[in-house]
Amino acid sequence: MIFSRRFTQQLLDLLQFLIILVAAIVILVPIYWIVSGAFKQQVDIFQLKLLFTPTLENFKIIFQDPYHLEEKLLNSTLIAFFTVIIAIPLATMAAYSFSRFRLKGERIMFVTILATQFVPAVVIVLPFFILFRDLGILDTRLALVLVNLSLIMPFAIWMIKGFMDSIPIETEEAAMVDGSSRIQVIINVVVPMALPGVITAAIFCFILAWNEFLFAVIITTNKAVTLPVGLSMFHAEEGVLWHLISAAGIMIMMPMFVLATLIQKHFVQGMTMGAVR
Amino acid sequence: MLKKIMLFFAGLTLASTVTLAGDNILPYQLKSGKPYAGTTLNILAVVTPQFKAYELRDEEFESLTGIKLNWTHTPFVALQEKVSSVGVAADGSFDVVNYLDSWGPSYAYWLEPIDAWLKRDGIDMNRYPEAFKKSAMFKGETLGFPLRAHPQLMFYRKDLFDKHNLQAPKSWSDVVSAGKTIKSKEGIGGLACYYGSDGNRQNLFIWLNFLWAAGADVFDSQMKPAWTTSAGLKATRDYIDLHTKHGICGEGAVSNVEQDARIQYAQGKAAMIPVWWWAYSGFYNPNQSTLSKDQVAFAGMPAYMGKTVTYAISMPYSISKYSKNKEAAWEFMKWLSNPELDRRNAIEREVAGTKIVNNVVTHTSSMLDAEVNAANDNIQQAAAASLKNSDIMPQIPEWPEVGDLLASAIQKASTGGDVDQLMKDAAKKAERILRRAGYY
Amino acid sequence: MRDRHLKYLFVLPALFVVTATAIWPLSQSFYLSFREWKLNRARDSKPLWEYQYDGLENIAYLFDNYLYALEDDLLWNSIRVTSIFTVASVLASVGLALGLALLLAPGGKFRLTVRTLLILPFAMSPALIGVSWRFMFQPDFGLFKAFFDVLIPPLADMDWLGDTTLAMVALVGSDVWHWTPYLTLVLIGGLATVPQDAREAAMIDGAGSWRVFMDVTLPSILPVLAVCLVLKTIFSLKMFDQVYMLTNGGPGNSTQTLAHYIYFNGFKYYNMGYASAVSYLLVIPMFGLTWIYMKLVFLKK
Repeated sequence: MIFSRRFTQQLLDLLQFLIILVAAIVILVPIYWIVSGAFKQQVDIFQLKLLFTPTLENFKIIFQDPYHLEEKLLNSTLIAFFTVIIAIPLATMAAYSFSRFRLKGERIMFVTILATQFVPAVVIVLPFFILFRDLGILDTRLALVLVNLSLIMPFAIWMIKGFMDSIPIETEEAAMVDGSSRIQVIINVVVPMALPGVITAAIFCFILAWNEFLFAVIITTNKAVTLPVGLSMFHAEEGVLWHLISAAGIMIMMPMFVLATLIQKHFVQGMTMGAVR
Repeated sequence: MLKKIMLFFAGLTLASTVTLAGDNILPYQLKSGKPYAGTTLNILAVVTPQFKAYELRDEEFESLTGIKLNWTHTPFVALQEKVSSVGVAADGSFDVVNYLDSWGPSYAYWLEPIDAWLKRDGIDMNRYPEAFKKSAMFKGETLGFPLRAHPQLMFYRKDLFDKHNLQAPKSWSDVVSAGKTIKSKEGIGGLACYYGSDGNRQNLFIWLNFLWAAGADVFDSQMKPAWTTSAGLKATRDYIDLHTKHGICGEGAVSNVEQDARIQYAQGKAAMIPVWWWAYSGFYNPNQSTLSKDQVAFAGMPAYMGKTVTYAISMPYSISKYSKNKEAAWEFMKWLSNPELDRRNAIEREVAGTKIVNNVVTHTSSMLDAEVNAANDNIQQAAAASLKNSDIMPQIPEWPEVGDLLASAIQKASTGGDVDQLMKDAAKKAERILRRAGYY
Repeated sequence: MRDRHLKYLFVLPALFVVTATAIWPLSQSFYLSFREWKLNRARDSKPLWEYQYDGLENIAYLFDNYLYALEDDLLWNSIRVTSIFTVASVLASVGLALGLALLLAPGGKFRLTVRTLLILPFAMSPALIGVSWRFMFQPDFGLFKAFFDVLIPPLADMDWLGDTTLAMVALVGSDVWHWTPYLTLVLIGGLATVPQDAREAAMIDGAGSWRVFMDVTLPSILPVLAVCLVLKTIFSLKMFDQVYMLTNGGPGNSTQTLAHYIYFNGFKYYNMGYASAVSYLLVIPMFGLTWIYMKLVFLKK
């Protein structure tokens, strides 16, 4: 060895640092491109200038007639929220059961639940369209929550089960021996331990519901239009209104970013949890 | 707001004067006595300044008829799905729909033919150029009015053409030689090409010029693919050669769709673009373009093999069969399509306080109107000339599918593929589709 | 034991939701796949074949949609494209995510900061990614051209979206950008559950970091890794939004995925019955695939 162990270690650290840095840049550049677009005037969009006169005009425009992005923002929020709030508790219960018990026909149930996701979503939406038409709930948030559940529910079950599986069963058994009932064990032991996983799944589902496009474009016209469908408002006759898409894009990303920052704590918690065990 | 109110009163005055003057006879063949007052019509239309301007003027209609209008403007990208869902929903949620002509045959079974009304109210479809008129018809029935319709024009950079002593191109070989000059001298694309297939078959727009001028056609009388005749294949090769052999196109020709090409021209990265007439104002709008008005000139479409045949497109308005207010909807259609509105909409640059720039008119009379032409640098005259020998895409319900086969073959060919083979393959696939649909 | 009832009671509500929102519409579509439903000719579907008293000789018509599909070149092309795309994007995104997760797992201020960025690409709507990447690939004003001009000049003159192979690379690239950071996040979550004492024990035993990874880390994150693979495979197989926005299946049909093909057949060409049949043609291989994943995930039990 020419280099001391310590030097090799430092070199490795530096290499790691550089790889992470490159990854961060790759992640950020397209986002920077979008964010900067939001502050450009339409005429500057096609110039690759690093310096331009920033404007807040775009953000004003997207909340005005005819775009009214705030309505789409509200729709997206409510639809994603209710989809997740219905799906996650039910999925957690089911995932726990799948993870901890042997159920009759569990393989069939599981394969079926997952297999529903392998069929192109276009096929799912058609019968729904007819049903909603007959019920008179086309273009409502309720309709979208229902359809989104078809997408969200299987994933939620799957992901949460994955996390449950990685939690050792011994802690629960110990609590059971101590005389706790199953329900108590679930509330006091399982849920806190599985929380990072459940939250990860919830975020995933929220984002899926938030960005869902295909269902929304078919089922909504006016009242229940969501953000991603709303983006198509900016495909104007003269081409894509990139400055407005960017501004609207920020409105799509921002809530997710805030959400991610808020739950960052839980990821950290999950890690320390692993460390102290 | 104030302007809106004033406009409203102007409409009222117009209505009342007409009422006083001529025994309750309203303009535009509207029914007098407001028989449908209180009805609300729902209209699904594409997003465009032209229609926005109609909406801004709709107080006139409301005051004349008492019918309320509720407009939904959908961007073009989402329009086909939206209109289709109106047909499937079949709940009368929209009384009037606006669509692209080549989707018309697919919707025909749920669109209300208007021939009986036309006859009753003495409206003659010959007020439109032949291609426009044809675009709103299917199987001999008239389905609606072509309210937004476009002929093709060749736009070019006046300044660069003058600088290099070039004349406005009269033929495609002129385009090639001018394109080569500009590409070598200016370092920008000669022609803004769009071979990209976007699901709307835009790369067939110019191809049809070549095909038709060569005397070939898309289908023969048996509805068999006819683009594989030797004349048809040669025309296709010549169209592809603009890029693959002559190299006169701007950057990204293979993946560019029409709007990319328009941006390319407007940003000064290409010197010519064959495109719809409505694009004109955008080419010198400082918000979208780096060009000034004196840099942008237009001419008719170039000739191929000594002949010019252009392709025309339209976006008709039709009444849904599921509408519960068909008679009221017809009143609306009469008002919306009236020649006076058509004309005014291309002259006035401000409607109810909103700035609107629109040069699209569809009545032959408007295209020849001196005031309209004066307001739009005579683009309507050029348009009328372009429409003299013009046709539309085949009107069959299966056209979107067959057209996409062609569009993807042409895009593939523009990457340097074997043109003849690709077009023959497309023909084989098209035959299979049409056979299944029961054509033969 | 009460668990015997409890365990079914827990699964029941979720099963009900899945049945009502996914299985019911799928069975409806299955029925439609045996019917002619052409929205460009009529509003409602009609049977391809009806039972007649005197025999079943024309029963083959019942399968007309499926038989037509078997000879549909564009369908086979889209299956090929989807397979290539799926293999490439799953391997690239999960592989990169695993590496990145291992790099980011140790913590520290710098790593935690980078970790907050990870949710961003995934939070972007795929439709938005498609539009923005298309714009970035624009040879005249796009970011990539300017970027490569400075960094890797040979890549600058490539017509990314105008070449059949490069268009696929661009598509996979945009998808990997979208998914890798999120999968990294999931895997970091998975790594957090790796028993720390086992790792330390292995280290004390003198195992190199590669051995520790293979013997301790990998086995314990296998379920999470499997979930990542399943998730990514599902989404790759369904790939639609970016295809629609970025390449629209082109040039030609070289990036036309199955979902794009089915969408176009259903909503642009109005062959709803046929679109349903095509989807179901894939259910059998998909079921097989699901089964394999199942084995992988249930390994531990």
